[in-house]
Amino acid sequence: MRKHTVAAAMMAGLFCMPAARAQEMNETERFAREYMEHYSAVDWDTMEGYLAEDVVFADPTAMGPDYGEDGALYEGREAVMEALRSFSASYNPIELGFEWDTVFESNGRVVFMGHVNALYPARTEGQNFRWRAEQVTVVTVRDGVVIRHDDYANYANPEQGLIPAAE
Amino acid sequence: MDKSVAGFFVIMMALVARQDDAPPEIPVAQAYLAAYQAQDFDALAGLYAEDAVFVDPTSFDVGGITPPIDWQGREAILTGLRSWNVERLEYAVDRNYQASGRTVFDGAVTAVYALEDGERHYRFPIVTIVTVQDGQVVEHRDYTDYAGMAQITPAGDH
Repeated sequence: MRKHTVAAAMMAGLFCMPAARAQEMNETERFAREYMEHYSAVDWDTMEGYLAEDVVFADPTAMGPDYGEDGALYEGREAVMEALRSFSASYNPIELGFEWDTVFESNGRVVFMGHVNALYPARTEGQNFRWRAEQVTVVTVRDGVVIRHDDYANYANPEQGLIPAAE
Repeated sequence: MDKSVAGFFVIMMALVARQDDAPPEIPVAQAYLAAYQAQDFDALAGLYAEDAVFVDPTSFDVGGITPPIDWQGREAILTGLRSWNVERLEYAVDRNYQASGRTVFDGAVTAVYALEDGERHYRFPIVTIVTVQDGQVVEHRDYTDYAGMAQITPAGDH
């Protein structure tokens, strides 16, 4: 068993500061939460206003015939918005319906931990198609805009199926 | 339709079959996390690719807690890990999944220090993403809630 003096552990630096979380949500986290609300609601027009011109939008976990081993990557606001709007035009999502258990901010990165709970119209009357999976999203904010958005989702083993449409 | 977005994020639902057979990256990632928790440097040395990367973008400007964690290469990673002087790490994983070679562990981790007057336990939320290629770990990526870190008293230690 490795034994160290308290002083040695303190000098190691890591983990030795007492908890210092501000009681109130900081501005970066508030901004990122707003941005994610629009993402969740597939409100692309409002979401666009949060993005830096040279934003990077990545999903290394994306799977499918159009993705390589590094998943999806879109560089620049124009490319990101084109991808999002094409997605909506093709699949008409009702919402992405994120549910976050844990959200925190550190060093300009706002980390969301939870689930995507997306809803799509179904051809069956009175039914919607639900696609639910574990997801982590990391939103990097600098100078009041989103400069990077990273998604990691459980594409391999989602829960999916028809559910009654809300009245 | 633009092929580059055909299946953008969640919509691959109907096109991507459930992956009921565990991909080969998962046992490697699990063995890695076990060795990482035990701070078993010999085992870790055998799991990292020579040009592996260990990065925590949430650490880059949290002065007073840790220098930036951005270690390039197996030897730099092992040197960095040893510098922590941590006895062990204990993950409490809320969600664990894998897609496209990335294995995601999200939850909380407790760093345990063995000091002369006993153990100290520090717990904080964390996301750890382990990327495996050809049976080796090529990237360890953490997102850590440094501000949410708290010293805890282990169960049964009152």
